[in-house]
Amino acid sequence: MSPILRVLLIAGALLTAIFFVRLIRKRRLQIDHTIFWMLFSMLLLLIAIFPQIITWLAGILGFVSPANFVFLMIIFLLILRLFSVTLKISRLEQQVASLTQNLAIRDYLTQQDAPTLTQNSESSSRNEKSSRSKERLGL
Amino acid sequence: MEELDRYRALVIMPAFNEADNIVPTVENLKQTCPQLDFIIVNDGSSDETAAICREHGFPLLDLPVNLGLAGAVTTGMKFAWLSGYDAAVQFDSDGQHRPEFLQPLLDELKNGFDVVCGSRNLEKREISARMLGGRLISLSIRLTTGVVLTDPTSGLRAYNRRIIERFANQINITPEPDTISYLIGAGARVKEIPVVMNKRSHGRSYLTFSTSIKYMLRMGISILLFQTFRKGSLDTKVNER
Repeated sequence: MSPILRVLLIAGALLTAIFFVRLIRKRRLQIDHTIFWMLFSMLLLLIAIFPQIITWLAGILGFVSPANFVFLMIIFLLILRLFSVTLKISRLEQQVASLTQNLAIRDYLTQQDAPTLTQNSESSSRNEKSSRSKERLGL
Repeated sequence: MEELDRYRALVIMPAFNEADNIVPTVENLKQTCPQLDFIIVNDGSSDETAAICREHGFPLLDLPVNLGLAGAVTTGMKFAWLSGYDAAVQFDSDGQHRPEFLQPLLDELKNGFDVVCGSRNLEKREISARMLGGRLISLSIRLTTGVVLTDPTSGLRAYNRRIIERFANQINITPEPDTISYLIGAGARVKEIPVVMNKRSHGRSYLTFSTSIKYMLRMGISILLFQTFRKGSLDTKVNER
C-alpha cells in the first residue's frame, strides 16, 4: 500500500474521530449513534498502521492491488450503514405519524365542547360512540 | 329501516391549506347528505383551515404537523375504526368531489363490496396527459391482478370495516392505487361506479411535473415489483402498528 494512501487513511480516521467527539462535547448527538463511526475510524487507523493485514487478505482474495481491496471494504461498510439508516428513518416516520394521529384523535375525544359528528342532533349515539373510542385509546 | 339506521358511515375530509374551499365544501356536503357523519382532518395547514373549522363548529381532527395525504386519511381511518364505523369514505375538501355520489358509493358497500371507487372514465374516456399516468397505473394493476380499474387515481373511495381495520393497523396501506391493487390481491372485492368531478375552485393542485414522475415511479415499483411479494389475506389478523 502506498504511503500516500496510508497518510490519507490516518487523516480520515482522525477527522472522523474529531468530528464526532466535537458533536458529543457540544451535546448535539447521542453517544449511541457514534459507536459505528468510532469503530470505523479505528478500522481506518488499523489499516494505515498495519497495511500487512490488508496486503495479506487482498492476496488471498485475489485483488491485484491492496488499495482496491481497501476501497471495496469501505464502500461495503458504508452501504451496510446506509441500509440500517434507511430502516431507522422509515421506522421513525412511522412512529411520528402514529403519535401525531393518536394525539389528534385524543384531542378530539377529550375536548369538552367538541362538535357532534352526527348531523341530526337528537341522536345520542355520539356520546356512546366517543366513550367506546376513548376506552379503546385507553383514556 | 332499523337495519339501515344502524349502518354508520363516516366521511373523511383531509384538508391541507383549504381555508378558501372548506366552508362551501362542507356546507354543500351537509345539505346534500344530512344522514352522513363527517370529520375534517387538518393536515398541519399553515393557513386558517383549523381556525375556520372551529369557528363553524365542524368536527375536526387537528394534526399538529403535516403528515401528507396518506397520513391524514389514515388518521380519519383510525378514528373510524376506534369509533366503530361500518364504512368510511375519502372525500376531498377542495370541492372536487360532489356529495351526491356519496350515497351511491355506500350503497355498493352494502351490496357486499369492500372498496368502491368513483370513476370519471366509466362512461367516456378523456384523453389527456393527466390521464396517461392513470392509464399506465391501470395497465399495471390489470397485469398483476387481472382487474380493470378505469380511474385508479380517483380520490373518491369508500371502504368497509374490514378495510378500515387495515388502514388503522397495517403499515403500507395508503389511499393510493397500489393499496387497491394490494387489497385485490388479498381478496378484496372492488367496484367502480361512474362519477363526475368538479374542477378545483381555489388554489393549485399539488401535482407538478416532478411530483408526477415521483408518483409514477413509486406506483410502478410498488405495483409491479412489490405486489408479488406482498400477498396477504384479508382474513389474517393484523397487529403490525
